[in-house]
Amino acid sequence: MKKLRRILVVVSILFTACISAIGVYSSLDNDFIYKFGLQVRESGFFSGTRMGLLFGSLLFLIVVIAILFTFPRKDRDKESIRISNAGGTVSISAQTIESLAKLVASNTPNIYDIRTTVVDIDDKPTIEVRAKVPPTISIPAISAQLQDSIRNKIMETTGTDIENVKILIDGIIDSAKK
Amino acid sequence: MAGNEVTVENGEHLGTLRVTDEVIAIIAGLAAVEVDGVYSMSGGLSGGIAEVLGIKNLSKGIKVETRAGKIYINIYIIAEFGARIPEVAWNIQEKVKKTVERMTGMKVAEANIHVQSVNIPRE
Repeated sequence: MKKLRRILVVVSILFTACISAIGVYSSLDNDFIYKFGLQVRESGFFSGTRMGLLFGSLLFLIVVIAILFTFPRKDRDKESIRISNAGGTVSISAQTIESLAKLVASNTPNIYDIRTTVVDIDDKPTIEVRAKVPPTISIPAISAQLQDSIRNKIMETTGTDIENVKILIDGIIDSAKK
Repeated sequence: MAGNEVTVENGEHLGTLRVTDEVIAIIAGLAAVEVDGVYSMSGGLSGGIAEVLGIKNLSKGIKVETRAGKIYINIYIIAEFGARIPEVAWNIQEKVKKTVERMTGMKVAEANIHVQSVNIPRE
């Protein structure tokens, strides 16, 4: 998503730069747009479907950029663990906790398709881990192992205890396909 | 940032010294990235645009506020995987405070650390 956002920002900058260049050039040459329009019409290249596609694509680009900038990213800065010390405050974002939990889970054998979410961060965070497992393993045993590893890693890295690690096994994976 | 300046008395007859928030941000940014456990500064969307365009932003991930003559610095970082965040945060606070105070002569009231994410090493 971050990469897509960057690409769209670059595309929108290039698009705006092109429009500005056309604007500057047409201010120097009054007939530029008229002559350009005539040339396009005479060439017959941009006729019918092509013209429709071009305008459709431009409209789509404008709508995407408008959506991108109108709806701000979810303000996850507020969703963070806050620790006060003598120097100020230290806030650790939910994304940090989720990344750590995901890394621990992905290093645990027989756990696949992992998604981690911090569902509650008020005092001590609660983490929900969704994953798939192969059919041959004991789910309670691997869940206990995963809960323990995640709790320890987050405690070690952030110095914060975890309220709850919720494990949701939402599928069985064919171990031959993994 | 340019309009928010701090004035420091340099002495009764010597005059005044003005240091802008932008300068404080650059000093803080350079100090913060030197701390072990900091992977990079986290600059948000504007920092991302600047980076894409190849503009080096030395104050990336730093927000400086001056209220009632006191400096409040917010530092947004991406931590190294495996680093102990409370220790890293404390080291950043110490280093940024010392560096800014030594270079500007102004007191830093708070250095708040915001860990935005951790850098997960690729296999």
